[in-house]
Amino acid sequence: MPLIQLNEAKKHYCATAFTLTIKPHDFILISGKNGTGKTTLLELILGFKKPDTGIIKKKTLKINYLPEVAALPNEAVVSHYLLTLAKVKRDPFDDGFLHLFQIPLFKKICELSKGNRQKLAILTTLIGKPDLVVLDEPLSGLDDKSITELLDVLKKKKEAGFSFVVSTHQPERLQTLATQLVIL
Amino acid sequence: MIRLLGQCYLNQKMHLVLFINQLLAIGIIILILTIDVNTTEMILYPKTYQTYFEQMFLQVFTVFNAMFVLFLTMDHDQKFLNPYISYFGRFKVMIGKYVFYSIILSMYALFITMIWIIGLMTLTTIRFVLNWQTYLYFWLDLWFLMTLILTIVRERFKAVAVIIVFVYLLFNLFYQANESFFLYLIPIVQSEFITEPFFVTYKLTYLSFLFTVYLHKTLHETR
Repeated sequence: MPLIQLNEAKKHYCATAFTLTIKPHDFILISGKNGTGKTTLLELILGFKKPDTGIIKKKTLKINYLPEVAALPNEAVVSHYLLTLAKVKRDPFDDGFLHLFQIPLFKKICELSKGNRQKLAILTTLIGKPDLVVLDEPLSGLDDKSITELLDVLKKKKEAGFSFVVSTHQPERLQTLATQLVIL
Repeated sequence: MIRLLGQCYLNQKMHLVLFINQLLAIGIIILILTIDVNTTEMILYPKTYQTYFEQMFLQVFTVFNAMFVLFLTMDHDQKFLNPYISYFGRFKVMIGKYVFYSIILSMYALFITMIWIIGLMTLTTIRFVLNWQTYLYFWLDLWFLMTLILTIVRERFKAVAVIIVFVYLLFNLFYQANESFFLYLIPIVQSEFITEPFFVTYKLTYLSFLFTVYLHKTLHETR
């Protein structure tokens, strides 16, 4: 039983009509040139946008989402924010990821560098028990070491049964994890 | 959810707005209660003075509270809500947001009313009789403004919040008591109608209607 099914879903400003089936335990990579509709496709999957034509069949899902530009509450302290988020999502927080990503825990989010903000935003998508994780350009702003660490974490989560839809300009970095590659 | 939203929304700016507003409110209340007051006359005509003070309170705090709601709620639509919406669902997030702002407004309303009553009892010789309707109607205006701003204002059009508050203030300043059509259209507080028994029912119904519009709009909009 698929989680989400897009059938010729299209927005008027986007040239492509999207047809895609997302099943449990999938790791779908979406790639393509700028302006081909990668983010639009993700927004259709998330339900933030409705298609002008075509059909989207979707269950009620818990989706963890990483936006293209990490949107975080700037004044919150990193550790407090993560703990509150874990509590609200009723998830025992795995602090192993914190050591792995080496994010400064006692700084305000606005004081973090771009890379650390991105790492924190990725970390928030791994908290909870989502049916699907949608990542929009997760590698943006990360150095090589962090990318390797991230790949390890994604691999572990995939093995734990998480489903992923990832939009990226560097599909070759994530290709080993992918079960399906969509080029727009 | 509310705790999470509190952590996100209660930033430095919000703290500053709350703190400055409370300080200003205390200052304004002291000014209202101490300027141009004849103590002997106050002892002779306590009811007249209480009515006079309440009218002053309504006039001054109409402007003051409108500004407070504006600063409090104009930044309500934030990008960081998107990941919460995708995980928890729109309904939970939107209700959580409404409840969060309602809690802040209730605390603010209670604080101002408390300071006002303490001021009346300590700075004047009036034996204060609580006229709860005046305050209830007045504080319902806060919810009216808050719900309007939460329903209409979006991140790209924050200036609309200023327009809403501006119209509210204009309406308050230039309202003619005999034009009851406008009262039904925008049932904000008017001293002439405070004693009308239908007013609170109408206002509560109107607020429920606005809340329904808020829910309908936020649950069906694209982000």
